[in-house]
Amino acid sequence: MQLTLQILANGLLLGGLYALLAVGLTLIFGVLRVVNFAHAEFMMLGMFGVYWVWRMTGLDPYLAVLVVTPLILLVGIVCDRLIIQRTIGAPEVTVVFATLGLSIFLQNAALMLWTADIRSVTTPYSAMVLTPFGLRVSVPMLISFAVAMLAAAGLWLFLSRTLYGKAVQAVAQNREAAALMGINVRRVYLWTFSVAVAAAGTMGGLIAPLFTVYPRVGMSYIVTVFVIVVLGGLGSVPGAVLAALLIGLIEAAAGFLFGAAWAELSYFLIFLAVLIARPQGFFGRRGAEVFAGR
Amino acid sequence: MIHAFGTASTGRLVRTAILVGALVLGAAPLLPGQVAVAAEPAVTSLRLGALFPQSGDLAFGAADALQGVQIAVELFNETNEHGITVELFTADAPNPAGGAGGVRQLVTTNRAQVVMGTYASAIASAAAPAAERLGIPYIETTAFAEGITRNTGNVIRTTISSGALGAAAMDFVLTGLAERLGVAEADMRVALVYTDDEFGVSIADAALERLDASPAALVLQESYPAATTRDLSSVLLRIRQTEPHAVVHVAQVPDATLLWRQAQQLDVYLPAVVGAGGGYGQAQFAAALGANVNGIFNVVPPTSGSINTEALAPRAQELLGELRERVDARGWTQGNYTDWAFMGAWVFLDEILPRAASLSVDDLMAAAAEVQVDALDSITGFGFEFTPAGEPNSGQNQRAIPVVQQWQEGTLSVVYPEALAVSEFIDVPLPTWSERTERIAD
Repeated sequence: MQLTLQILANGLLLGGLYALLAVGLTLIFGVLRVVNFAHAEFMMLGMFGVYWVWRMTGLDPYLAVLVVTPLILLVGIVCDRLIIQRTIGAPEVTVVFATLGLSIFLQNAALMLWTADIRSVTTPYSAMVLTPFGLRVSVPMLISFAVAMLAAAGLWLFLSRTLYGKAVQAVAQNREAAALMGINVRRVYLWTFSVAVAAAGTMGGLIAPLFTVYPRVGMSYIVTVFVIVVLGGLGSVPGAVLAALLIGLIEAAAGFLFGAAWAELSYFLIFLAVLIARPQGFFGRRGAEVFAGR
Repeated sequence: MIHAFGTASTGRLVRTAILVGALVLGAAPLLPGQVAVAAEPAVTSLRLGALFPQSGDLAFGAADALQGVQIAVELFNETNEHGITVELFTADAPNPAGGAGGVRQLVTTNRAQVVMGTYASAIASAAAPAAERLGIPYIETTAFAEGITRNTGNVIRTTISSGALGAAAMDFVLTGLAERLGVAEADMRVALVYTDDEFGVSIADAALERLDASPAALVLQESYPAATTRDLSSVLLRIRQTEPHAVVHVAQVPDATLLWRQAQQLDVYLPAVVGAGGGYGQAQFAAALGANVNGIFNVVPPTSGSINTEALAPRAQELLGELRERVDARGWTQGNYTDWAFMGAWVFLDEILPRAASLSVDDLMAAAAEVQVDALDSITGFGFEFTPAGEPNSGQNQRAIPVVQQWQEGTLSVVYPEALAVSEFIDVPLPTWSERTERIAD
């Protein structure tokens, strides 16, 4: 029983890490209809940002997140103005190549600036654990999990309960109609993209005390996060959170039951099974991949 | 033939070990070194292509290797008495496809006559056959996978093969480590955890082969995809369940670090861990773990950093001095891969090339088969003698032998075999996590 609970705890905490990335990615797709292959690179930038602030100033990594997140937001604004806005309405292949190109650019920029050295943030609390009911729960993982859940809940409330949130939903459903109703579509796009990538940067900063930092670290997340977004339903925030937690649980449980080599394979099999039964994912709408705000 | 510490190894291995042992102990006499080279070599110029990852995940270690090659070429051009001039061209090989493409670029664009690489096994495994298809000799200085020499006929490998590395790692677990743990070999419980890429699998296969010949028990065998693994908690929980005496882990820096950090979080006790090359020998791994790195083993070929270099022959000491001076002058760092790549390139340039009748694969392989470099004449502490063409693993340096290093006070020291050891073992078995906390508190 203890072992089962430990596996569940490990899986949920892992899923929490995925959730913050997935929520941003699903938002970008739902509102902008942009498949952002560069999403995990903003996480990488967040990790490097926190590493350098910690290394150069000695500031605690969690406080460094507060410094780094606005900077990633600024990077997001620049990327949106220079690249993303120019792809809106373009053929899908243009969008794919634009974000893929952005991903490659950011990776190689990091490589040039900071080399391929593998770096790590070490803090006294990196290995700190809580032991509720005899379980061992990593404090940094728990903090990341809590921030991810709070951010997802806040985003959902914002989108469903505020006027600006409803404007975002309107743009997601029909941008021409939204524009005719007086909504500044470009501004909605700008802030949606920038906030979503800033969330990825936040997540990167939060996990910096847990994982090593290197230019291609984002590559290890991006495929899993795309699976989560599709599984949850494109554009659905609650769907992304649910799918992230599910994938985390499957990864932890299958890894233990069948071996680590089966962890990825297992969630891909379940992913395929769900898509066969429900092609639109948990909370997506069939044939209309729009943000639902549900 | 798999070379391992305690198996029925060849007389050649024993002779090499004795030589290196004498070197490490600083008591070895000068031994006959290189075979005389013809006064006027048939080859007077060479366009050499250097193929290493310069971007991507692998660039951080590969940069050291490329720098080693660059310094070897520079030094050879300045000092060689054969009148040979070498022009060096470089190409980036961030992944296997890039490796094959890099070979084509070097050969067709730069008109390279020989290609030298590669740092990563997966890339070398793609690049060497690509060179073979073009009829180009391939010199491998730093990649370990067994298949690189087994599956091709154009490769001269100056460093160790994964077969020797994996066998040595397991051999150490079953002999030297078991003895220190006070456990009979037949009672040893071993876990094998490795990345599912060519590097990891080839080392694991050799380790398993060695284990199969032993009465010891394999209690856990786990592989995982290194590129996408973010969680090793399931592996650690299985380790806790199976209670091995020792874990052999083949990993790169990110996953090796992840395993140890999560072991601490989950309070999974690891009595002894033996890394086989890769991340376990890197300074970044030690930096990430801090004091927790002490006591962890790593099996690799020796380098100038882990041997008594004062016992080297004068010419090798000169070479080492030149390497250090040039590395320092450029603000580079001299890592394991710098040493292996530099010495491998140097042996190719200074020993094989002057003996070659031409730059064809056959002539270079024939020239390599004549080379005999003693351990004392090498800055790495292992010698060079290549398997002749037509034999299994042709082109493989048979004198490249591994040693067991242990992290002690944040640096690596050779602790096994005893004849080569420069330090005593520490922390066998490793302290538990609570004992480590108490140590820090004290």
